[in-house]
Amino acid sequence: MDSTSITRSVVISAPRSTVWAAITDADKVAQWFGQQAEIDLAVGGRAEFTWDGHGTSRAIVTEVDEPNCFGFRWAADRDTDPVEGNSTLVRFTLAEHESGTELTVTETGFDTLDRDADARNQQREGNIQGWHAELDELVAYLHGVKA
Amino acid sequence: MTVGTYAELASVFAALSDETRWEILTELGRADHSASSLATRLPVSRQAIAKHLTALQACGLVESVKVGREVRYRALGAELGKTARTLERIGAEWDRRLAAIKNIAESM
Repeated sequence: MDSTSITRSVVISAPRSTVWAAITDADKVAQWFGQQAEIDLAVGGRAEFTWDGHGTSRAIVTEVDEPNCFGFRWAADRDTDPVEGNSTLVRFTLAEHESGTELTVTETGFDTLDRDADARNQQREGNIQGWHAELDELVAYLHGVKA
Repeated sequence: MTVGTYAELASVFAALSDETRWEILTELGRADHSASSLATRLPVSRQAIAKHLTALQACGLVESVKVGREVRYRALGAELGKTARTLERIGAEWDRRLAAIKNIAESM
């Protein structure tokens, strides 16, 4: 796993089939990921998540392995198809747990997004104070999210 | 999440995807250095140091300052701090979504 990944896990008191439905059934997905969702649950299928007032976010399903794994490539920009350079990969894994199901989500590929030199240069001004502490915090944080 | 934020995140991580650059940043976090003083501290050639410094400067993690006849390099905290905060925000957003999934699944 690369250092630009986000990883989060939660233990849910429900069987994997129930958790699987919560993350792949569009009506249920619309309750936690935007306000409306459409999912063609097949590899290569299209998915759309709509946030009221913020447009629609498009995705392409990359992995359907019920009830173990569900993944999609997600466009970083609204109303845009996900392609190389504008999207991250979201992957859910479901594992048996003594109290139900452990659901882990990873979002990777932030380092593959196209960069914008102007946006970058605007950020050059900085303050060296606290820099060392921030670096330590970042390292600690990255160790945390990689674990 | 805006395009600019993702683009900045990507450029910072591209620059940080190298062990020597972390070592350079750590050295510059302690004190400003010229390229040659960095080369004496790290097991890397002066030429390689210069390349790494260029990459770190391009994404705003390091700046160069002329002190007399010497060019010294200085670490900039703003971009790194922003990167860390952006990752924290994305992580917090996933925490919120996972908590919502938990509620949905446990009430089914």
